[in-house]
Amino acid sequence: MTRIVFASPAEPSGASWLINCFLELGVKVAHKPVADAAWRQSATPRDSIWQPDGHGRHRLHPRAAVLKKFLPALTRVDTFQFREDVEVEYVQDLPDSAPAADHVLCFVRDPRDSLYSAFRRMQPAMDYHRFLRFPDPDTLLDRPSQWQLWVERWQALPDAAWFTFEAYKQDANALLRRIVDRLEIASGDDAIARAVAGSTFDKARQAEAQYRPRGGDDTGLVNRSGRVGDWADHPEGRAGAVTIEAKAGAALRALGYACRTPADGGAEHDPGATLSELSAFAADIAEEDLRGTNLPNHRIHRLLENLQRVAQANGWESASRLEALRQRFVEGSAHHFAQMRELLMQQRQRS
Amino acid sequence: MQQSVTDRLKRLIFDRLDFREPPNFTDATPLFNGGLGMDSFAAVELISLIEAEFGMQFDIADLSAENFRDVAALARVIERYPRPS
Repeated sequence: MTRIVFASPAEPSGASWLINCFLELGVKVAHKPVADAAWRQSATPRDSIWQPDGHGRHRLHPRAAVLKKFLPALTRVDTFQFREDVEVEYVQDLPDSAPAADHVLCFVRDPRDSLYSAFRRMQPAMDYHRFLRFPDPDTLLDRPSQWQLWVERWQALPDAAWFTFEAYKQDANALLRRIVDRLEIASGDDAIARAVAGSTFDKARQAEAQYRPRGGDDTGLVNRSGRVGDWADHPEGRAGAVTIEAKAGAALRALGYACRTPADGGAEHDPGATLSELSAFAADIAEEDLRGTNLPNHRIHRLLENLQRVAQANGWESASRLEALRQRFVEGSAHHFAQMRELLMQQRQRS
Repeated sequence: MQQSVTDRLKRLIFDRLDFREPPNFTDATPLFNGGLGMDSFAAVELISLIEAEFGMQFDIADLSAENFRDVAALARVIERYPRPS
């Protein structure tokens, strides 16, 4: 059995296209981000998005149904007969160490497009400038720095194969052929063509239209026809690109993306500046701003927990305020139930 | 023999919602923090499962941290609703 780790950043990078192609090729994909979210509090193994049907086939676990929004194969096929020679684990995390896999595949997209796409997908109640500076809940880095860290950490692994969204947009068939050859997944040309035909943007859009979420917090449009260099057609995208190039220029250049900012022109990796930005963020941030991010409660809770830790270590005055704020995002709190009542009321009005 | 409301609730939580039953779990174990660690996704799912299982619809006002504190509290709320004939 060949084990493959397939990594891409959390921002929209075209990974769903490749995951869908793998499923169309009969390759089982363990989707760690969705499994982590669905079984956050459970000891169930992380590839349990798949349930055996007792006849050698697998169906999607109902708790992972959100994937139907992204992956048209899950709408078209009810049960899958997976190949036994290869298995893929899809991740968005930073690598801890060398993953236990025969192949590592990294799939990236120009962050000037992917971060702008994330901004439009999440529709936060803030402008793009603030969105880019919003700290990652785990690392507390701003978004471009987080993207750069992700690239650096995965690039540090030997023998990882790198592919790009831009190559997919240029020729999806040719890219899928290169990927399966590199990963030694035996596939005929017909199978490749069928997999690509079943993974088009139109197919993804149709699947999304058919998907009806059970939870009221899952209504955002996820499938947009991503265009290479789209950021350059929007004033806020162009302004954001300056920040992204300044903070993540090294990783952009390492991956072969052209930058307008000179190599030594950015204020990259200045820990003092990062800490000072964080301190200002911690002093100013309000509950309304946090709710406006459209991040799930547990991610905001995680952000405040980490921020509070840094505030305490640095003796910032904001530490106690952050603790009070964090309590507002505890699952099962009175505040949490007030939100849930609101949500259910809206659901009942709609149905 | 008819199952009690608390037993039916536990079946929904452990069998249908796929939570792992801790060895020391009691009807007074918190469902959220410091206990089972339920989240909002699971809570919304549990509400739907309860409404289907017991043939009722929660009053919005009953969806409170106090009523969802543990299985015992939740059972008391459910028992207040009229049973379908």
